[in-house]
Amino acid sequence: MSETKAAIRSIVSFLPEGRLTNEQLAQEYRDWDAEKILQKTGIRVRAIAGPAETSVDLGVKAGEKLLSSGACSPEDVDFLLFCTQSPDYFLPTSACIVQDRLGLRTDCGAFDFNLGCSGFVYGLYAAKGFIESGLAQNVLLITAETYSKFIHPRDKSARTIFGDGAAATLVSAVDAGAELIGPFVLGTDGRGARNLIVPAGGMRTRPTDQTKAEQTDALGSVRSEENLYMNGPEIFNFTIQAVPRAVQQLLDRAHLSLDGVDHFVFHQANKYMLDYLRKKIGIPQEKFCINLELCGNTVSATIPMALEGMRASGAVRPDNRLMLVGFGVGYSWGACLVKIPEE
Amino acid sequence: MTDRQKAFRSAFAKEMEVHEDELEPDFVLESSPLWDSMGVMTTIALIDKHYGITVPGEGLTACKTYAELTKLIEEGI
Repeated sequence: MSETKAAIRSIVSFLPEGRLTNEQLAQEYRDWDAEKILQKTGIRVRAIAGPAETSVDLGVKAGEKLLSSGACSPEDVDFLLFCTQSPDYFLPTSACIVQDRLGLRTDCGAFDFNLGCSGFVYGLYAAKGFIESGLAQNVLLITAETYSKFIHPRDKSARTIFGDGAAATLVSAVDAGAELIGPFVLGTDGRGARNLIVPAGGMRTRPTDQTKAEQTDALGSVRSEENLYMNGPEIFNFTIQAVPRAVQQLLDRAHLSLDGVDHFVFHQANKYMLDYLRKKIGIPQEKFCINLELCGNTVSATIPMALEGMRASGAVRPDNRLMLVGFGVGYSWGACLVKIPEE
Repeated sequence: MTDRQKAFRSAFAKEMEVHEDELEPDFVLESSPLWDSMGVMTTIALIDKHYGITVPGEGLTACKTYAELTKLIEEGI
């Protein structure tokens, strides 16, 4: 029996023009080698937003590309979800600015949500809920991030990993016999909040001369409390525990084994971490997506960017079952299954 | 040295691009250019793979010598 189901209808990404290459990093950090950086991280070049270019700008560009592709007209969008951790302002809501700049209807609902690497999966969860409960027909989910603005120029580890970028994903109501987005597994563990954080600048710790003071860590990276701090080892510890567990929980919920999934699209953190997770879980290499060589880790935009590339190359067929897994800052994680019908 | 300890030492030497014989207890981790943030992450993966345990990230980053690293692992078992 056919019912109204939510489905991903279109995905379009946008990268800013600025670039940070491994050669540039190797020139700045004399003990590093460009080829070694590629081997370990899987990243050759990162896209970096310009000084006056924000997540809202990147998100609007991705949204404009999607709307001009004919996937949907601005009048048809009845909900906008905007995911970022680098908003233009504390207030107003970035989604309100994006609604205006994209020319969406004024009776369109819109809000921001503040998540990082799990943001795309959470966005799909909300969009599915809105559509399948009859509250909306077309949800525009924009995930946009500019972590580069938080990173100290001499923070070697964070600068090597992160790039800026945005993706716009249209989730629409379709008639289908089976679920096209879901089931889901979500998770949260705020005990990890201090391990990926910008400590100062919000209301808890206001910016002062003291929070601007630079410090060098044990591995030679420099930052102040107003910069992004990433405790890489603890993030890795969290990931190698939480992700295999979430994958198994999702398979159990869907009554599937690994063989029942055609493609695994994980948050593109870095290649070493992804390779380790793949081997630990037992996923065949040919089913596992790696897509960060030319953009870096774009936080909440990595999964839709990977999906866009896979669709463009013909790697994904409409009957393929994909597992999406986002994990990171919070800690927050989410996993879901999707099938993506033809546009 | 147990088989597990030998296997870990061999894998760690390979990742740090040093000869296994160099991994004496007083081996200074920083003497390998690969003992950086990625190197620490690699070591966590090796500990997970060979011992099935997680070690605190800050404790690992604070290790100066191979003896301190192996002590941290033994404490975690």
